[in-house]
Amino acid sequence: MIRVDQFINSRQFEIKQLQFAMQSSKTASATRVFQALPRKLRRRTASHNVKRIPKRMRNRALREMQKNEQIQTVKKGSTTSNKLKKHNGLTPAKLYKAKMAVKLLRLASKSTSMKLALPNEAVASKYNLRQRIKSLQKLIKEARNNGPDVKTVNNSLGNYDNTGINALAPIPKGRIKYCKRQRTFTWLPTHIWNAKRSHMMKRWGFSIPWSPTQKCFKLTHNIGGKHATSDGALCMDTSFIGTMTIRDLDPSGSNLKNLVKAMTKGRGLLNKFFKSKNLFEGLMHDWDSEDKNIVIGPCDMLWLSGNSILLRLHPALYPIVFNKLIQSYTSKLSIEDCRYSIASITIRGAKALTALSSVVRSHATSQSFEQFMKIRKITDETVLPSKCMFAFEAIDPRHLASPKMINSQKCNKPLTVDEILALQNKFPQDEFNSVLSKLTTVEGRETSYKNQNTLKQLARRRRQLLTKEQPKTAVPFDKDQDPTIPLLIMRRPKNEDWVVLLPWFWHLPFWYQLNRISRVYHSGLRQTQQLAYESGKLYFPDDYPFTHEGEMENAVYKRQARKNKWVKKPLGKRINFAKLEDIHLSELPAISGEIGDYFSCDWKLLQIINNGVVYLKQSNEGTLPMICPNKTTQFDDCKGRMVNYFNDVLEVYKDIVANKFEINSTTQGPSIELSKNIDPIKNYSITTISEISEKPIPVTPIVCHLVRRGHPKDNARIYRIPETDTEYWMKVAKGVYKSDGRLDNDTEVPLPQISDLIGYITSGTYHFGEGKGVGNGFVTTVITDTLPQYVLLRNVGTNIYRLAKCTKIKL
Amino acid sequence: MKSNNTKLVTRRPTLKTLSHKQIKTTIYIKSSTPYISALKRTKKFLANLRKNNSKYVSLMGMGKAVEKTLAIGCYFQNEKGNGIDIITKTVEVIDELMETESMGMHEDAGVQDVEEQSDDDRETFLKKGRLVGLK
Repeated sequence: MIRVDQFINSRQFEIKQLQFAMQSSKTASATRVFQALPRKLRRRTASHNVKRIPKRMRNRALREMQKNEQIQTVKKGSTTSNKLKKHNGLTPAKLYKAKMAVKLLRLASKSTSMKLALPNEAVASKYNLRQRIKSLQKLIKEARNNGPDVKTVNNSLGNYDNTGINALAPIPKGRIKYCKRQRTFTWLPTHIWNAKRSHMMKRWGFSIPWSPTQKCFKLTHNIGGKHATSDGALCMDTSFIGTMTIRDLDPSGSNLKNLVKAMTKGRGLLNKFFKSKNLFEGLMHDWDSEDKNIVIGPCDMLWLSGNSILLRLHPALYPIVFNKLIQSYTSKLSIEDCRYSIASITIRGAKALTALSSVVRSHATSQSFEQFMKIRKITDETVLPSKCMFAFEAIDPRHLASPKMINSQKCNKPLTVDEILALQNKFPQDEFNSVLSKLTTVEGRETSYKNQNTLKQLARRRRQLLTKEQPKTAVPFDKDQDPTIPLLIMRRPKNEDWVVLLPWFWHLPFWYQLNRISRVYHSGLRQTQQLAYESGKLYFPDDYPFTHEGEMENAVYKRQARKNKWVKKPLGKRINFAKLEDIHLSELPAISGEIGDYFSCDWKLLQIINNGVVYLKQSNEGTLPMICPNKTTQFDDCKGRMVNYFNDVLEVYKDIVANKFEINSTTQGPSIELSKNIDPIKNYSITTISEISEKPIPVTPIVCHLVRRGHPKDNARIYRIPETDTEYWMKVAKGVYKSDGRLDNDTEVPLPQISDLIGYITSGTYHFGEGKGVGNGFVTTVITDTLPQYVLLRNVGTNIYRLAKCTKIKL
Repeated sequence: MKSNNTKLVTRRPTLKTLSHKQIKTTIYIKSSTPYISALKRTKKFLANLRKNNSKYVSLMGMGKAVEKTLAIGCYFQNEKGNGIDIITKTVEVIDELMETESMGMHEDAGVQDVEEQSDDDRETFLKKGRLVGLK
């Protein structure tokens, strides 16, 4: 007979034994101490160089290295004499060249430390090494003799303000060692930092971090997503997003108002943006062309005062927009190109504010800074009012020994709702404006670099602290000597992130400090795209097919990449798109297999099909004849194609594609445009055959949530549910069950027609937050004239239809 | 502050200032959270308690989700034998209001374009269920 207590005790003992055994076997298999480190902190060089291992583990690591008789790396240059290394087997010519290169660098650093501005001959790529050295030598000599023509800068780091006034700014001079590498693609301030830790992408005239080297898909979701479990921050150097300031020469600002009105279709002049000076995030329309509906792309705009604005634009659009503005508005507006003079950091996640607040310090009492400090512990920033901006003058972040939160009595009071409301009611507008005017003017930025400390100078000041009876956490701020940095921190409510705008050369100090905080991770464009997708937003340029840039991205750039990948594969291992079967209800002779282009969202096909259906329904009193049973195709007297059946519509598409490849151009006008007011269209009509392929169809952005299993991929096709099959699909939406109580996923699916194609998914995958497949895309409503509640999705190269619920995306 | 010419736009979430430890031990139950998912999540959090150096997991539910939160609490009390504390609390939340007058300076904008926002303070009730893992 078993007694209960004995039975439980013995099971408890067994469980403990098992746990103990598991624990001991886990530790026994590890032979080296760095194996205990988390994946993020592992270094390949840790097995050679102890300094890669955290200090508390170093002693054990050293012992282990000795035990294995491993050779340790020794500090460079300490033991081997420099003399032996000197020639290094170089021929005299090579040696001379190497020496000259070193000489150039020495001269350059000498001239910067003498606060001299680098001459153009030293940086421009057309000059050779000797000319560069000569020019530098001449410069230094002149400076020593107090020559009259010597240009100086106000700091010993060579930093200067590089702003283009009514012209695009030249590429920043940067460090002389790296200027040749930036001829076509400019580096961001954090380029070297990022290049060591991320995969870089060269596009739009910049070298941009694409994605961190370490895998981070899930991390990005966990930290950057909108949920209470986010514990950290994701930051990115977004200096490639161009900033320009536009001032109206007329003090009333009427020219600028007209421009903004045309650009934003009046939205930018609303009270919310113009009077209350909220950040405007929205679409920029082409203000010049006759068709006011042409969208250029997304933009951020902030009214600085009644007659000046700050405009932030994606680098793909920036030069186009800037040049267009210059052409038409030079006499009326003064436009400053601040691409290389205002840098920005974008940061998001629950701890974004905490991280930022540990880095920035204000040098004097500032209302804005106090407000910022008050909210620094908020982990869910959606509670904040829509206008949430802070501007103050910060001190050099390198003054701090390590980034830390301010812990004062005043700051540590728990936050109440009233204080949040005070943020909006007591906005220190005057102070805000004065800091902003420093950030947005050339002189303001220039003075912020005045007496910028070098690292050596700071280290010296820090050493001096050791001897004094002072707190040693930060180098004290010296009012007369030290520079102050105008900072703007703003929340972008639509993008759900924080943007810090600061002078270009102050970016790096902040960046270094920011990345020293634990649980702050860097990210790249790939992560920005992922987060935009996850929050159901459109990402420029991939999800903007109705703009020129987005169209190119989809139809040229991504299409080519995908196609090349497919072509490279051996025949047997790639999907034979042309031979796919059972895709549509009735197979038409015009098209076999997959429809449209296999590697992109084929908007042309969508346009022709939808316009064709509208045309045919109009001419056939509401019915859609699919195919003529007797003849294949018909031509009229002028050898134009006659469109009487749906099959002919597809023939029209084939003609156009064939022509397109012959002349190899996409200059046919846009196939799609953004639907006005994002509402269903009524009274859409096509009257002539030529309109079928010319009239752009209006599209609406939507998010599709899959109802059952599976997930959409990029370029998935969206079909509407045919009226005959509505009953079946509604049943699926409710759930069809097998007799064992589980969902039945193997029912026979009624197929739609090709003519039911209404759109494409531009970005789709499995959504971690929703726990199901989600895709962002565009649909037209010209066939149905209402936005359907349910749609069918089909991935390219498959014949499986999945039901999805769709909702509109607010733009 | 509320007058006739305002319209409710959105309700903002509650004010959250969580530390690292709190983030790892707090679960917010939504009315749309599936019951089983919440159970699984709580179990996972309870298993990680020692790692996070804390003694309990808090489940928070507000308004419509109060019942579900209590149901989860009951499950752990009855089925798993954990001790639970139920704490009720009033939480201030912020509503986002919109003025329907003074639409702005121009003509053709949709509704979402003309948000003139102001916030209002309003009291709602909230129940906080706190779960204590038994050791």
